[in-house]
Amino acid sequence: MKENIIEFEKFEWQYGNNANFKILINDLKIKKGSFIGVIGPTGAGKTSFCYSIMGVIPHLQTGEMKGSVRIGGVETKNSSLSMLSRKVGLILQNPLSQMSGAGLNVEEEIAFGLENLGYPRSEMEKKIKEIIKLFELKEHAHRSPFELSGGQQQKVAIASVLVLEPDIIVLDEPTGYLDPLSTEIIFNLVKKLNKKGKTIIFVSHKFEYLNKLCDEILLMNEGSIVKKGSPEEIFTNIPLLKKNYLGIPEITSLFNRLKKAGKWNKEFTASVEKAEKYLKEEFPWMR
Amino acid sequence: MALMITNYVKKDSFIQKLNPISKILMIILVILSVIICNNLLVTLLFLINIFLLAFLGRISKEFVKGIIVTMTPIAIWFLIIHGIINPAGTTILFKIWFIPFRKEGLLFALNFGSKLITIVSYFYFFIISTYPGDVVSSFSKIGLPYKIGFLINSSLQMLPLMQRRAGKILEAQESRGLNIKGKLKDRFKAYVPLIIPLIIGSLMEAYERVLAIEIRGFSAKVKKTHYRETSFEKRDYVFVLVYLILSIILISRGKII
Amino acid sequence: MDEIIKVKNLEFSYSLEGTKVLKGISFSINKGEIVGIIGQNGSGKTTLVKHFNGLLKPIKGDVIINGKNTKEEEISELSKTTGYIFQNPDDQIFNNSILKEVSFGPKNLKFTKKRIKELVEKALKLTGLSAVKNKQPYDLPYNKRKLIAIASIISMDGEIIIFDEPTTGQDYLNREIVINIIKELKKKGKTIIVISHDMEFIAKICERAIVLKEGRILLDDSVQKVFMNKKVLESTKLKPPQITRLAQKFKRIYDGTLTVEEFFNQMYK
Repeated sequence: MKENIIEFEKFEWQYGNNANFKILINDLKIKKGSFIGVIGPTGAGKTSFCYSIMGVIPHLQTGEMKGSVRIGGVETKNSSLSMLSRKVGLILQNPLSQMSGAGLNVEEEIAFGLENLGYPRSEMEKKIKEIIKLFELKEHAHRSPFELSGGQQQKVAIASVLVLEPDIIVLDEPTGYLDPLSTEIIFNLVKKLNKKGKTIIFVSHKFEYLNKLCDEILLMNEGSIVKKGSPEEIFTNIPLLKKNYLGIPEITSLFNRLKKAGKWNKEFTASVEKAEKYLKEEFPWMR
Repeated sequence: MALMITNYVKKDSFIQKLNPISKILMIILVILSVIICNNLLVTLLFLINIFLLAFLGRISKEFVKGIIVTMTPIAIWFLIIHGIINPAGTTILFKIWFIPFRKEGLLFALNFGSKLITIVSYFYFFIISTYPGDVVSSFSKIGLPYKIGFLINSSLQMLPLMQRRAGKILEAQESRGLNIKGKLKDRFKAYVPLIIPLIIGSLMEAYERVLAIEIRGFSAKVKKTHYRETSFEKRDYVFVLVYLILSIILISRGKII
Repeated sequence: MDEIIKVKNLEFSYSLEGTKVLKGISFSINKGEIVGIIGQNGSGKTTLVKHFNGLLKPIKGDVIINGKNTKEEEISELSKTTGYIFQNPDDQIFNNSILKEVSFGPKNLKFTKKRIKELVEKALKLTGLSAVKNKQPYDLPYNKRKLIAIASIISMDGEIIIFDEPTTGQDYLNREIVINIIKELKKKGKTIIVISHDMEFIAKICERAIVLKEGRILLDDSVQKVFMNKKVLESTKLKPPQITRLAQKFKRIYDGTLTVEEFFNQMYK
């Protein structure tokens, strides 16, 4: 059994400037090394959830916090953002605003966090070299981060937090602004990091990727986690998705259509690959 | 599309290798000498000197272009205004059409204008010959607050981004029928739809950027280190010493004269 | 059918010595068509559509909008015909109420007061913003601001409306709203051009798709036919919608299937 790396207990957060919005997470434990997808409509509290893991809530936001969030056993409210930056890395949607502007090229951009935490120069060089290799950023290492494409910038943003060696990486719709190719690259990169043991929290509207890559999905709405389950469990549950204003994967709709016509009474799937298998098994005439 | 990030021109020579602090010291010494000596010859000597340094730094093309573009209109303006209306002017030197140009005014313009151009040239030289990343590390090395260095450096980099954003806003508003040509009054009115999104957008991005740098330990209470090393080398001592001696001589002689 | 957009051997680059972003593009669009323009970032999609309202002018070739060559027209004139909805709403919102924001375009076009009022009200209704029209735009979240940007172009009543990435950053509900808006505009006979990476969205609203790669047209055909051309799609890293991909795994199902209903009907009818 793996240890819990993220623990929410009776957590409540009320923003100082918005009395109508409250985050409430009574009990949530996430195991080390898991890949968690987070879905929900706009305003569900997904970003606030990410902020609470990183410690941006309560350290950089005004409001009132109750209960606790523990990251690797450490209470976020008793720690500081700079301490937490060695445990959690946070990636935002807009790649451009994550470039600090501290350095003139990608290497120096990645160095920024290490400089802030006072790493000696020799160690910095080694770490930066490693991460540039892992992220295949070598050809861009001496270019300005501001002249890269959105997808490359997002890679640099991930490299820049990862270089501080956090165990957890939280990504808040990192592919929202990216094209399909860059989206694929980012999801694959994150999967690679997950295989190396990193715990991943990935907020996205791209259900197909989440379905393929995640161990578990958290469905959020109105500031709380409405449902936690396996991807297939969530993405084939039409009433649940509808109730929370979420789209229904086309494959799920197909199985629902078959069921309505009395042609299907087994479990659904939301994945193209499984659907092919299921249909070929059930309806040999389709092969 | 290549994006110009700051005005730094990447070249390899001892000028670029100099510590930014050395160049700042030189600029201070030059300004002091030019102002205290108040002598056209001294000013011109320093003006020639900076072109020479730009040549040594292999940035003379960019330097000359930048200086001519920015300083020519100022120089002409100075000569015309002072030549014509400076109250000190008595001796008419020449006339263009019926407008008289007076000697005293022109001399004043030459004296004052050359100082201005010289001083501006030194600053411009600093900007195009100094790697912005080095400013931060050299500042904090001599104990100046890191945050000031960071602020200078990152705002230099944000400028081109602002320009790019402004371009997008202009296109978006033109697509909504905004006319920026028209009369002066209309043109003034047309700025509102351009400026407001620029300010709001930049603020929103700045807010996000604060978050992005804070989660990378910006406010950590440890002594920061620097990936780019800047050190005060032998060449820095020599460079500063040369200018120190030169300005001491000039200033003391200037006083004697 | 009336040709409303005609592009002839269009070439464009941002600077004289720079590489060409558009390398000889020709096609035409008829009045009332809904056309999707797809391709990776940097393929020239936005550069192409910026020619339709004169923001960019060809360096070679011609773009004819509603019979007028864009080289001879000002943007302010062309914007009467072509409305361009930019990707980021925050690049344009500047008024302190949604109503004023949506009125800005038609006012610039010097319509009569009565017409402005009518057009603005219609645009607000279509985007579902009527109830909040007196609110500050920035009091609404980003995805609603995107609807404000849409309304502020629709209110200009152009014949052609361009949507640049209307579904980025949108959740399911807002995406449905955008789909609805486009369907309504289609009913009114508007010509619609959509740039999008969202293939399900393209499948739902477009009849025709143009695939761009590195400044050239790779494909220009019905959406079905485009999604069936696996080779070309793969080279641009675009993936057809889930249901289409599933259909392509079965011989009995048409490779250009776009909806669940079509899929089902082929199984049982």
